[in-house]
Amino acid sequence: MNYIRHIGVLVLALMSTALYAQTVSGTVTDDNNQPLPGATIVMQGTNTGTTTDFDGNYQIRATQGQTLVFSYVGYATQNVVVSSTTHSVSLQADNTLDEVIVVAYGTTTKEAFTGSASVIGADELLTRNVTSPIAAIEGRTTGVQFTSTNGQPGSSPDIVIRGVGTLNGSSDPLFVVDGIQYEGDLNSINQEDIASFTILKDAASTALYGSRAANGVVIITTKSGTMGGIKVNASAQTGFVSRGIPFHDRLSPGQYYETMWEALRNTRAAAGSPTYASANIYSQLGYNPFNVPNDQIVGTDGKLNPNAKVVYKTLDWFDFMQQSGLRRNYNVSVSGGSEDHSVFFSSSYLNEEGYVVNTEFKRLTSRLNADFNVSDKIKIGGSANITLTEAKGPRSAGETSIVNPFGFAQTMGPIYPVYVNDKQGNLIKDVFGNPVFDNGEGYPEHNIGSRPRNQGRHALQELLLNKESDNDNTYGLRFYTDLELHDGLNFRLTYGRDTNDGIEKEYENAIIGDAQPDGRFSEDRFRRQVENFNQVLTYKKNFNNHNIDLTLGHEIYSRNFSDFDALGTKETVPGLEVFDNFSNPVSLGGVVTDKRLEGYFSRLNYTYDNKYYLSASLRRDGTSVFNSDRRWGSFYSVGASWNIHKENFMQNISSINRLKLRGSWGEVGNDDLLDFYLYQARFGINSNATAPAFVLSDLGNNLLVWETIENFDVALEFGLFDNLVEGSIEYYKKNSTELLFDLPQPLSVGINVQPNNIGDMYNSGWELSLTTRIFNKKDFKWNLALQASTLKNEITSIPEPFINGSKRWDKGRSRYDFFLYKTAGVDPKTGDQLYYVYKSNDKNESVPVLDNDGKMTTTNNWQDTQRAYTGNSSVPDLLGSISNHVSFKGLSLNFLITYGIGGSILDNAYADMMSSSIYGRSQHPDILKAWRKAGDTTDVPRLEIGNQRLVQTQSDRFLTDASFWALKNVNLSYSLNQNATDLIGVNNLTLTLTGENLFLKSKRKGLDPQYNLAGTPEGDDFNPSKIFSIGINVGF
Amino acid sequence: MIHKIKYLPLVIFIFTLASCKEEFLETVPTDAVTPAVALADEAGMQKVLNGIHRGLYSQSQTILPGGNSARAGDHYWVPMGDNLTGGIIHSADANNLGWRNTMQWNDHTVETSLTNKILWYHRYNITLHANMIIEKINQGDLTETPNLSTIKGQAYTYRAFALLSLVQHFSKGYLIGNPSSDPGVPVILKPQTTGPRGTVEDVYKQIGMDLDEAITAFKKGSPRPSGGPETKSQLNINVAYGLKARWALSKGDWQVAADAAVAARNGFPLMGEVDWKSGFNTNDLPEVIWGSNVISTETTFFRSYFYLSSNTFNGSQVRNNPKIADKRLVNAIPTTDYRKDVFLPDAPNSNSSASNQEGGWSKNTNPLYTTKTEFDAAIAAIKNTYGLVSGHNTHPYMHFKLKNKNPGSIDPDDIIYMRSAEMYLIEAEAHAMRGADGIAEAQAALQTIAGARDSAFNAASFSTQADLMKEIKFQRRLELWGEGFGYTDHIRWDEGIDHSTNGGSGASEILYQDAFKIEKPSTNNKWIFKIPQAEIDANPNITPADQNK
Repeated sequence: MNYIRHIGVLVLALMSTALYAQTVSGTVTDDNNQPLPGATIVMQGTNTGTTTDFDGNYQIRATQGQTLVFSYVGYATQNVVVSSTTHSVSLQADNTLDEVIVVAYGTTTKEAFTGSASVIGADELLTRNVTSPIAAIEGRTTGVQFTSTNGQPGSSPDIVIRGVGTLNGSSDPLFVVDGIQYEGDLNSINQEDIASFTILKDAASTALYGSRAANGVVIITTKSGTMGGIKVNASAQTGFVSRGIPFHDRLSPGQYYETMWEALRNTRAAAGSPTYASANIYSQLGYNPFNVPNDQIVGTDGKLNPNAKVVYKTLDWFDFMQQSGLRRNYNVSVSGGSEDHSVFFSSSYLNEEGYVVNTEFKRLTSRLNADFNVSDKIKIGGSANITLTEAKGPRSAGETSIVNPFGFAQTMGPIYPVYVNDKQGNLIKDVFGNPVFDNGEGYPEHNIGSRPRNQGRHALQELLLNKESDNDNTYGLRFYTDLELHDGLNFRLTYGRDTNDGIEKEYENAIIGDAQPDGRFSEDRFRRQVENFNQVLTYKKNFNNHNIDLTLGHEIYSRNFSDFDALGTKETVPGLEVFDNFSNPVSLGGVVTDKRLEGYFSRLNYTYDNKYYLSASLRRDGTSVFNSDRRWGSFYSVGASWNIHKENFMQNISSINRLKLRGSWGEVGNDDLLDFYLYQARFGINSNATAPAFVLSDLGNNLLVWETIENFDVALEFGLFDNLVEGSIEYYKKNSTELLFDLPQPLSVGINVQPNNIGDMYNSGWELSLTTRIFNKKDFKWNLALQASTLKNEITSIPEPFINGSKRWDKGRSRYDFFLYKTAGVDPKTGDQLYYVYKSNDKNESVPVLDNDGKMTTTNNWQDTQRAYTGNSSVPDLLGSISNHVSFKGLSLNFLITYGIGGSILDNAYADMMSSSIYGRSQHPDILKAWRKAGDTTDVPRLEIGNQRLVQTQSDRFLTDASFWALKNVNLSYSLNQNATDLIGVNNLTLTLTGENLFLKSKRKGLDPQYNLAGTPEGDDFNPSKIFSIGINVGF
Repeated sequence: MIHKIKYLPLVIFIFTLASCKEEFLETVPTDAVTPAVALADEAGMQKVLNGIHRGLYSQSQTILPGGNSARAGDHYWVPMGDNLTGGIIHSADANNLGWRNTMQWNDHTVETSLTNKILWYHRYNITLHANMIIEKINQGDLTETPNLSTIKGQAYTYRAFALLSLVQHFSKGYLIGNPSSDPGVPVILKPQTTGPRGTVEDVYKQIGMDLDEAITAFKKGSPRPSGGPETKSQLNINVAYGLKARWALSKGDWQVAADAAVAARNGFPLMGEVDWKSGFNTNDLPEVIWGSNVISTETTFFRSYFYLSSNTFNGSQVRNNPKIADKRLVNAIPTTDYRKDVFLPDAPNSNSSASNQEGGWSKNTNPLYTTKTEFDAAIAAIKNTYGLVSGHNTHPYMHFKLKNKNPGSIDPDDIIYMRSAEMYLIEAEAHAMRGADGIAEAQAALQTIAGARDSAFNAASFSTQADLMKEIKFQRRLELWGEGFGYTDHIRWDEGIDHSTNGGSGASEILYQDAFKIEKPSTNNKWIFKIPQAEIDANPNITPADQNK
């Protein structure tokens, strides 16, 4: 690329610009003749402009004949041709807002936009009180699915735009912050720094991002300085954090002893003898929390001794692991500017304690955004931001780790206490007077045997003694130069770099748990650097009613990641988390990875008479993830829109304020299968007794090509009855082809997956968005918004169907169709769980085996049958939200309800609690309905220790309706009126009361239907926090 | 104008940054090499072999994509054979790593179990690596040096080892079934391929050919370097002979088994009493032919062999659930046999949660202890002698055959896979099974091994095949206790499990549940591990109908 030559052209263009400008001034007022402070005046076709001061006055340098564009949010834009040195304008209120939308490599207006996007502005964000700002867009946009934040302080929810278009790999959208791809944690962005989110959903809006836009794009734009005077805004919030979703219901100690008694009686060892069960149940469970002797807890009638009272204390583990967390958030921002510059500065501090002890998230942010008009042809600007975060909490939560506090607390049988109890239920104290943690290894002197579950482990004690922390520093830099080369011809360079430095420390104590008896410490330090550099040439030209806007660009992207980790054991001083304290180094590791991308792109927008809009784009990307002869891919889009309400034939229909039809079609790509060296077969570096070793780690695939997602979208947008009702209805279909997938290999191949382009799939859906302004008076406003989206997913081509967990992927099926054992109820004679018998036919379909009468046959052993489609899917029929805004004078109330209708969930937590196959695990009250004697009709099979056939989690028995509704957010705020604010000398003052995740109604208590898209919640994870907070916001 | 021009250098600088060359998109990993590099030469292939060695005991997720930290290769597979068959007996309820489920036969009988998946996957991963080496060497473009021959020998030996392990777990026993029609396991001879189950006979045939290839290659190869315990993680000709002996024994090829066993133990003299009682924790023991050398920087912490089977390891599985030996076995050991010393029939039962319901002083049944003080003193003495920590429990018939080098710690120890004593026992069994002709040779072999342990041993007193076999079985159970041979022995001898007969083994029925009594392998297919569901799901050659029923 010969840029030097271009520079010459550029310099010449700069020098030839005419400079005969004069100062034009005036006042901008509204239709009531009140001055409008902050109205924008821009010279048409340029980026040069200014804003009015508090009295509505402005000054700008302009030449005769140039056109000044006067605009203000909520008012119709006016164009004035400069003919004198004063021009005062009165703007007319306009309900058909023409919002500016930030799009790929530029901006457009809502009217001109041919694509599908949702914009969430700072006002809507104001009502939310979330740590990761992405959480605030839930319920504000159609076609976007949210999975729960895991509730660990500082965690972000995952979002999926218009269905998962890939089979595996990441379904995360591309995040672009101020024009630059962003890969840091979203929780490192201060919510109050955000001016807007734009969620780009269709090809017309995303294709300019080409290969990175497969899952949609979220553009985050931070606030800029405002012209005219220094404005300061300060806010503070304080709140309380608690658990948002309860545990599943559990049996009481007495009920538990009864069911375990019965499960023991039904074993081979007991051979059905109640006497045997009564005599032995205590020794199997190990603990007697009652005030009766060990051998008299459950009678031979299977009933708890009527005299038995629970004397043990501290039986609910989670009571001791949870806390009421405190959340504090402070923010101050300053913005200012004049004709030739604008600056925004902010700083914030957040401290959020989780609802689990020893969990916390702290964040300190600072941001400086500045834009300078170096001359009327050159703009330079950029931003610098720093975020320092510190998260504390058990990384093991939500994993299969024994000490995951949720799994531990939920699954621990109800007779096992947190602290050692004596026979009378008094807590045993140590020499310091502290209660002694019950480690489950037995306290014979207190009539306590070994705990059959999690012996030698103690989730609370380990939570308190272990220390796990993540310290992440984010340094962001954005820099741009915008040169006007010629009238309407601009050249813009943008460079950005985000650096994330992290230190993750994990100390495990020597007293109990995985590091007993040595103590163990590991530390992982990493640096991720993401660089984007793009060069964009734009040309805008108006002639008559034609308007052309051309964009040409080139971009490079480079991601470099390096890490260093070490692990040491054998501590010298308890609790000291530095390597010097650990005498036995166990491992030392480190790796560097790179990913790179280069792209060329172009876009042409054409408008005729502000009625007809056309947009077309083309991008060509090369990626380091594919082999050199296959790494370049082309992506494109075309879109059109028609503002019907501007047609002459519509002018007499006063009930329609706005009617726009738009559609787009195009193709984007995907190279993300969570492996930066995807095509390369690799042997990993290893060792054996220090001798160097290689182990095959990846099969690679030189034939891999881009996964492409073809996108079709059509929508009707409308504003009716003086904009009483506004909304849109939209249909899309996304065809994904050449799907990238880590194709499961038979284990006999010796390695379990190989990346492949394996098949085709589509996602389609309808999206409806309606807003009604029920009241729209000056002092009383009431808006109600309803959103609804449908989702459909179907695999249209796959070479060989295969089973993926609880799903089977086959042509004509959704990737979310459950494929499970099918239960046929409980045999009333034996109490066995019955399963329908299926076998594979010659087409490899699972079909029922029929008896001579044509009836489906059953078996009591799931190993004698196989899985089949159940007809259920984890995809909801309808997903959406209802949001409400009422304001009366300074008082306003917002609430947001999200809902899902239909779909199924495999409730794994419930399934575990419905099994009596092992001692020590908690159980669900539904298990009381178990089969007991011949003739019982029930859907809960016989209880029996050790029997693997009675409860099969992977069966339709545990499919549960996924419908839910949730009160996500309520915000009540009061803004002081002007008299009051004048009195105390501020511009505005608002008090708020906010609640997050207040209520969830799902089919079963404890079930979180938004846990994941596959509908397979484990039920032992962190779940979203409920937060109540009060806040104050002052501007001066 | 001047103020504009001063920005030009900046603009030019940024422009020059933008120019990309095609190399910009060529990136290479830093923690891996391409197959071409790994298999380029002897040095590379030796490293691939070292990778297989490491895979034998690594936590599986570090070696196998999609593995799981709860299984660390042969750390689990070795003791599993005795855990399944009532050799290593659990004294209390503790289920760490699913060890109790495995003991209760609720693990290998389930096609979705982790054990089945990882065992199968691990063995085929060994096969894959071996096949890559074999394929590369057989292309013939490398000079066949002695080092290369040894590498080739190791690769063939590994393939045979993996296939033997697979067919012995996932198919019906050769001697008790119909090998020519019983379904085997896929025989994979080319990298990245798969196949149908074939027959047991096919698999055995391939193992035999591979071992002969290996022996031929080793004969041309450079010898295994001598030195520290790490050298014994390299396979050599003795290992190939040893596997051949096991293979031939399991298929009833008695003379071949006996001859191979003799060749295998050549150069690995039986150890003496001190070594025998040292804990079986190091490859340094003279009779160890093959073992993994596990060093502290390659530890698997609580997934180790000794966490599952030794009573000196400091883990909750051990502290709460000391492993005991079958008391019928221990009681049968003559007092002149020093091996009796590693079992403690009189250890007090300190665990109030012991499954035999006899835990704690209040339930003491041992007349040796007449007071609580005596009872406690005996516990303290055992802890003191064997280096146990305060949390460790003691139990009658607990063993101290397998002991950590550093008792009371979680430090790793070596895993012994093959030692001379087993070869003597194979030799004895094979000759005994030959019939009358083999009696003398069987006695001789038995005398060597048992005589080394028991000063009063006299093999001449076992003069019939039946007597000899009875004694050989006893000797195997005793000599190889805890080393994992129980599973294949039971299948070869077609013996079921019954913890209740002859006064009982000491296992508790309430803990052992259905595994308390298991019918013999010839009539009970539960002995055969289920093919992992993941294999059936992904392999078009194996359908649910091909599952072991």
